[in-house]
Amino acid sequence: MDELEFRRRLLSNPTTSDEAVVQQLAADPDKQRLQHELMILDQQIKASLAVPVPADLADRLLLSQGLLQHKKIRQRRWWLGMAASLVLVAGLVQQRDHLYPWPDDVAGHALAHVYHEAKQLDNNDSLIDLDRVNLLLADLGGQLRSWPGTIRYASFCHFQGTRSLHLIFNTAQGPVTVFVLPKNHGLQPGGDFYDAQFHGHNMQLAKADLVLVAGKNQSLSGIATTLQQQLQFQI
Amino acid sequence: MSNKQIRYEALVRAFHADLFRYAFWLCHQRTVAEDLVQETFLRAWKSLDSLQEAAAAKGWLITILRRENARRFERKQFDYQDVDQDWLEDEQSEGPEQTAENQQLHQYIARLAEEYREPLVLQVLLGMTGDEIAQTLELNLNTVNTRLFRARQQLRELLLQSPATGASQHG
Repeated sequence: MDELEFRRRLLSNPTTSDEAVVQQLAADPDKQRLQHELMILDQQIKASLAVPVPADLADRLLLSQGLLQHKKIRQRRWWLGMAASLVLVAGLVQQRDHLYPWPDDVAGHALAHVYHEAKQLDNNDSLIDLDRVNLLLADLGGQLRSWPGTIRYASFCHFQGTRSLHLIFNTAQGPVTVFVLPKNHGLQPGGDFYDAQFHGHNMQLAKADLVLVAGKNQSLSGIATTLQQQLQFQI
Repeated sequence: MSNKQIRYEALVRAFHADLFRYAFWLCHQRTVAEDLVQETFLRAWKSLDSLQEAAAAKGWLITILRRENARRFERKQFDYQDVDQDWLEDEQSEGPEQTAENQQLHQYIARLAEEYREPLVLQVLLGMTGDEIAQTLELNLNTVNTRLFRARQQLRELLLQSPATGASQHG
């Protein structure tokens, strides 16, 4: 290794462990001085390169990562909200056939009202006592003599202009919606009906028509029997 | 705290200073250097799973930072003529810990060609070996060694020409 190559190797790395360089260093005090000088130069270079680092940089880096995480979670939540809204809209579009235009049969109206008051099916917070139900039923000339279960909803609604009573009864299998329609409703009566979520049953009494609607997996026969026994109309 | 967050925090604590200084010597502006380090660590967070072993972390982070710096140039072509001016401004903000000698050397280092300065920073400041530098800069080892040699040679010449801070005073 000539002098030039020695310098090239030493200057490219003053602390090299290159054996040829180490051997030449050991044999020549001048070369040792050069190495010493270069090592001091490196210390100076290192000191010059070590510019001050902002004191709180590490904390700020960790903070911005935390914010990124937070933002991502928020974005995810936003998407969840959006997805939920889309599902809701899709559901409404699917049910649009029931909502608009209003169907002219009892079954269609009944389902439309059930969907319209869907939140009442989940609302088990307030129960309505029998007296209150009978107060409303009285407007249609009816009365429930007694009722074995609880009632969670009772309100008038309109079946194409006909004032009807919308009731929701609690049963062992879940809520059952019952519409009480005066006989003059003018809608096409139907038999049993169903859609993707619910099924329904028409009952024609002497003084009124009843429409029973419940979830597809629920039986309507028990409540139909009870209604027939307990619901009576004045002449 | 998740395992990933623990690893990430360890990386930030261990390397943020080195990365900031390396970034500073790439762009010569403290604010830009800080932005680069921010971007680098955020990218590192996103792909932390791809970092197999801690021993490779430094080279991995440097590679990310170099890419971020390249992106910066894609976004905005900086006017190289402004570098000296920026440099002087930064110099004044360095604070009293920088001695006059260091400031002189600091300016000489700043005036080195990028291709000489960068391997020098990686070697002296970050303690990377010739092979690691070659891998990071995508150069062969011989080229890296030649550049390191020229960097030191030029600095020695500049210091020898400068009577106030001549290297001979320290030898």
